[in-house]
Amino acid sequence: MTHPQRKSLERIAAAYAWAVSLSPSPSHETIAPTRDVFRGRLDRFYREMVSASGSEADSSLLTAVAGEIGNNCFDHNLGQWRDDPGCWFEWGFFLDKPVTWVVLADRGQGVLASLGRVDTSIHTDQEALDAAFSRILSGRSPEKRGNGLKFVKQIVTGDSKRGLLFLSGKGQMTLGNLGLSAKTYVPDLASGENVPGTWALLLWEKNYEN
Amino acid sequence: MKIEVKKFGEILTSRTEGREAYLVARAYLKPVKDDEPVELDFDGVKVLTPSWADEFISGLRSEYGARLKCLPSANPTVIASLQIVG
Repeated sequence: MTHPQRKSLERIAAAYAWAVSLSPSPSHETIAPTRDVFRGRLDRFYREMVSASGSEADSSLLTAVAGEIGNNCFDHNLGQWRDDPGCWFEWGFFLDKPVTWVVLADRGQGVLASLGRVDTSIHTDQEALDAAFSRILSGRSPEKRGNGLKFVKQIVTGDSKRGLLFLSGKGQMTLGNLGLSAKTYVPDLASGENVPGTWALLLWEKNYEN
Repeated sequence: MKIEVKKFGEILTSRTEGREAYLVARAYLKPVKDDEPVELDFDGVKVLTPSWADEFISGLRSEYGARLKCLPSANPTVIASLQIVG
């Protein structure tokens, strides 16, 4: 395993450890504590993706997906953080393959707590994730929202070179051809650790055709 | 009247920003005539999400109804977001 490859795996593991830990961790520079900071990093992310891939179209789609997931951290958790506010937003590249990885995570209330309030038929973390990615439903009722993760699903499954692993509570959602691969990058995932907020790993292979 | 959406930014992702953009557009960008079409031009927009588009377009649609039109765009996020927002 190359050093950059090992470094990527260490960073993904660090993000996971932050999301599942019971107590607040020391501050990480990878955390965007406010939406404004996240917004600034998303702009930088887009520019780096264009520079790395040479494809504005592909970078545009990747940034939109990261933006939807990251903004959800703030939309659904303001005033609901367990401790550290903000969104862990970090990315890198697996250099042995032309794959970009992106981690987005929060220490918020999680999907079940959010959606279970507006649909009392949702009782488990898995049911909440299934609903979040397939139904027009939002925890921010009565606002008319809830199409962001459907958009994420559409984009991720729209090309064979993309994948998403999304965790909340003990629920898991894998999308796209690379979704199952994403599972192999998460330490101790099989042990079913609880992710009280949300944790997402996006894998995106460079698309030379765009 | 044509609204150049890129004037609100090239990367448009959050609902809060979409809502703010709508409020600004409602206040400062008004068609001269009551029956004048209002066209949204997404040329120059790099990234658009359904969340931003929903706040902006739904707001303007409540003002202008069927007079509001979205001009064609080649950007894949604009195409996908407009399909979802409708």
